[in-house]
This record gives sequence, structure tokens and C-alpha cells, in this order.
Amino acid sequence: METVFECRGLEKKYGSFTALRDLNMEIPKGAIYGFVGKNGAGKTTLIRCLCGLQQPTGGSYELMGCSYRDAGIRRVRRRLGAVVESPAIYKDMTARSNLIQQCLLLGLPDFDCVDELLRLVGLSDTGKKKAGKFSLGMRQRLGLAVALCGDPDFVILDEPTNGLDPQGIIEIRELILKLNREKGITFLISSHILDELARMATHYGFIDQGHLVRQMSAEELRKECRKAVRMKVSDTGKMARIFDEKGIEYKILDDNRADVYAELIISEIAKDFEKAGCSILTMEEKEESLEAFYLSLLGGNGDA
Amino acid sequence: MLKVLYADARMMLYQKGMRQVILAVSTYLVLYSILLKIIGHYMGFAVTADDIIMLYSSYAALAVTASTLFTSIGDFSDGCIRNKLILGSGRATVFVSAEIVGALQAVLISAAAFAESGILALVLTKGGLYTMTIAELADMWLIDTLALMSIGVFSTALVMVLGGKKSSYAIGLVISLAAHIFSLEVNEKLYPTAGKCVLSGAKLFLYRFYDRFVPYSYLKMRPHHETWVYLAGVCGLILLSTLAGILIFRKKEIA
Repeated sequence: METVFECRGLEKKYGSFTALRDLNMEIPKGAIYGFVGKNGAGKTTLIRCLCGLQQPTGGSYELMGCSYRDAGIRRVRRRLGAVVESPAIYKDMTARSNLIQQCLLLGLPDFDCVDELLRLVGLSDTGKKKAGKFSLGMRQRLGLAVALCGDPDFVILDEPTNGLDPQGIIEIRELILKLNREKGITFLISSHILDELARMATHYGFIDQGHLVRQMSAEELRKECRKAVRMKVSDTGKMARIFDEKGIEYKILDDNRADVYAELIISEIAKDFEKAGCSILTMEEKEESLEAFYLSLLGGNGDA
Repeated sequence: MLKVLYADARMMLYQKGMRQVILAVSTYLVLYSILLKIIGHYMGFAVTADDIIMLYSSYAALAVTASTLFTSIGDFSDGCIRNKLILGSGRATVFVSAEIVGALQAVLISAAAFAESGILALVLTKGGLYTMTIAELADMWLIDTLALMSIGVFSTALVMVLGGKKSSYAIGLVISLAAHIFSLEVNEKLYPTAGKCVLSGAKLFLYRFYDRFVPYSYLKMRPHHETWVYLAGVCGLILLSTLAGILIFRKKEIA
């Protein structure tokens, strides 16, 4: 598996505080990697190390095949785009000027990509409005456009949908998916909105107390998230007797509702329920969410 | 290096902070000159060109410090320094580029102020320069500009070393203000208006060193040392800020 980022035993200490410890992680090329963890778990510290803003105190990492200790790492970083914590924008410049500024910093020969990027993030009509007067959502979009300047191979987004309205969230998600699909850009996305992440990510990394607790593909996660059938019945007591007799696993939620963890043959179950004098009111397939998986993996205290 | 410098210089021209400082300097020059003219008219003394031309130098260090602080701290807080590093620019490159932009700001602010004070002197006074020649005036402006460039470099380096923290504002302005007050003290003690200099020993050495080699003091008096002394002071502050600054900035953890 070709990776864009790989770290082995990564460690970062601030004095006596260990922010990252023995962290092993791989981001496959072409993936949308959802990076999940509580506040203070070490997500931003890892992103800072990855971006070269901070140096690890132990272990090693490779970015696009280049070790962070190599002299060539600077050249490799030119293929990286990132929005770390807050978007990097010049508040006294317009959106267009900001993108031209990024083109200059990258040493691009022309500014042809500017209009395309503005259109891509929906900021074409901002005209002479200064970025300082933009709403939080507009700044996020501009930050994303800045990160996309120069056609990067790997984009790191720290809370990309922060401050966006529902429409904006959908647009950014669609944009990320489109860029991933059409240009093959690899994304590392740290987000608190797990439901949103679940709609995009192809891979996940769960970090807790500076350690990567679990790393898995979306497919593996789907397998792990248990499917259930949520049933609404007239009497869960009678329902329990039927399922106990058949050895079917279930969980009663209240007097009328229960989750059943088995593939049910509806016609047979319906007959059994009729015999027992219990009515099935509704049935719906239910999948355990990323949020529920996260809570079971890392516990519920603190934000994701 | 050049592309980062070009981008930074472009950014500087867009900076509201620097434009506001130029506006404040200009407004102060105009208002002060007019006030001086009015007072002179009623008190019965003539305002000389020298009075107006010397005005900017008295607060130039504070103006340049404020402008560079605005720009550099903004660059940090808006994530732009971080962005340059993420793009693979070297820390020394980012640092030196920011310093050069600090020096450029000093040149722009000073050029605007000198031009304006020259025009005001022509409009509001009669008889031209009284106590200096045009050559001496040019010499003074050149030394002042060089001194202000080194001050711009120093205050930018300060912000970079402090990681763009808001406390940089306080520290930068306090240093500038303290240097302003100490320069007055040094001038007063070394070149008293009445009597002789009575300093001796270490204090005399310290005051003379400050007078000769610390650029903040160059703004308080007309040039009275040899050119190499001024160049040594300016280059000394720039080199010290750059070398010490890069050493610290290379190790700095950027948030």
C-alpha cells in the first residue's frame, strides 16, 4: 500500500507533558482519512509535526516517502496544502489577492488557477470585499482555496466545516469528495462532526491521549458497526420471550422499542408474534453510527 | 528567498496597519506644524523650517515600531507565518524576509514623513533652513532612515522570537518608549545645554556607547559622529537581531 504519510513510534513532549506517545499511523495515497479524538488528544500536535511547525521529540515520520529529517522535506512540503486551526488568510486583502499571494509564495508561473479556485469554493462574487470582513464560513472556504493552490497531492484540514451553514457543509463535503475522486488528492481531515466525517472518510484513525487507539478503513468500520433492526411492538415482554426461545440477541430500549441484532425472516417472525398476541408496529434497519463506535472506543468525556 | 520576500513586500503594501501609521504620522505633522504656526503668530516668534523638519525624528522610532508590530503580529495571528512554513519555506528565509519587510516599512513611513515635513516647511515658514545646510539635512535624513530601518528589523525580530504573541505589542512599545526616554537622558547628560558633561567612569562609558552605537539615540540629535559609527550601530543592531533571532526562531514551536 502506497502511503503519503507514515509515522513510527512518534513522540512529542512539552516539558513533562507527553502530547504524542508511540504513535504509529499510515495514510494511504488517495484516502480521505478521518482523524478523530477528544479535545487535547493530540490531533493538532500531530498535524503541527506533520506540517513541520513543530519537531517530534522521538520516533520518525515520512511524508510522501521522504523522512522529516531529510533535506528534501521542504520540497516535498510544496505538495502539501493545509488549514491548521484557523485559515491562513491576509485580512486586508480580497479573496483574489489572497490566492495570488499564495501563488507567489509557491512560485507559480501564473495565476490561472485563481478564478477556478474561487469558483470551486463559491467565492467568485466577493469582488473587492476584504477577507477581514468575511463571515467565518467564507474564511473557511478561502482557507480551503488557499490550501488547494498549486494542485497539492495531500491536503490537511483541521475542522474544515467549522462555522459553515448546512448548505456550506454540504458544498465543502462535495468539493472534498470531488477533488479526491477526480484529482486523487489525499485528505487528512480532523473533525468534531463525526456524522459529517462518516459521509466522506475512506479511512479512520482514532487517537486518545496521544496514542493512536485504532486505525481502520471505512469498510472495516462498517463491518464493526453492528447492524440492528429497531422494532416497535405492542409488548416488549412478549417479544422478549419469542426471541429468547429462538436464541436471537436483542436489547430492549423501552416498553415498546427494541433493537434486534440478527437477520430476521419477516414472515416467520410475524407468525410468531401473531401467535404470542403481540403486534409489530414498525420495523427499520439501524446501523451503529461512527459516533456510537467512537463512544464505545474512546468513552464519552470530551469532544471528538 | 526572493519569492517569499516579494510576496511579503506585496502583503506589506496591503497592510492596513502600516497605512494607518503613515496617516497618523502625517496628521500629527500637519496638526503640530499648524499649531506651532498659530502659537508663533500670537506669541511673536517665527517658526523655522528646522523646527518642522526635525519633528518627525522625535517620535519616528515609536511610529516604525508600531507599524512593524501591527504587520508582524498580524502575519502570525492570521496564520500566514505558519502557512509559509507549511509550504516548505525555511525558517531563516521566513525570518529574514519578515525583517526586510520591517526595514522597508521604516523606509516608506520615513520617506512619506520627510517629504511631508519638507512641503510643510516650505509652505509654513519663510527663509528656509536656519541652522543646517541642505547637505546636512540630507545627511540627517539618511542617518535617520538607516537607524529606523534597523529599529524596524529589531522590532520585527522581537515579534518573530516571541511567536507573534500579543505581549509583543507591549514589549515592543515599552522598549521603544524606554529607548526614547533614555536617549533624551543620554543627550541631556552628555551634551548639557548649560555647563559641561559631568559623567565619569562606567556611566560615562555606557552613555557614550549608547550615544555612539545604539540607533535609537541617532534620532534625538543631528548627526555628530563619523559615518562609520552610525553604520556600525545600524549594522550591529541588524546583525544582532538577525543572528540571535534566527537561532531562537529555528527552535521555536509554532502553534
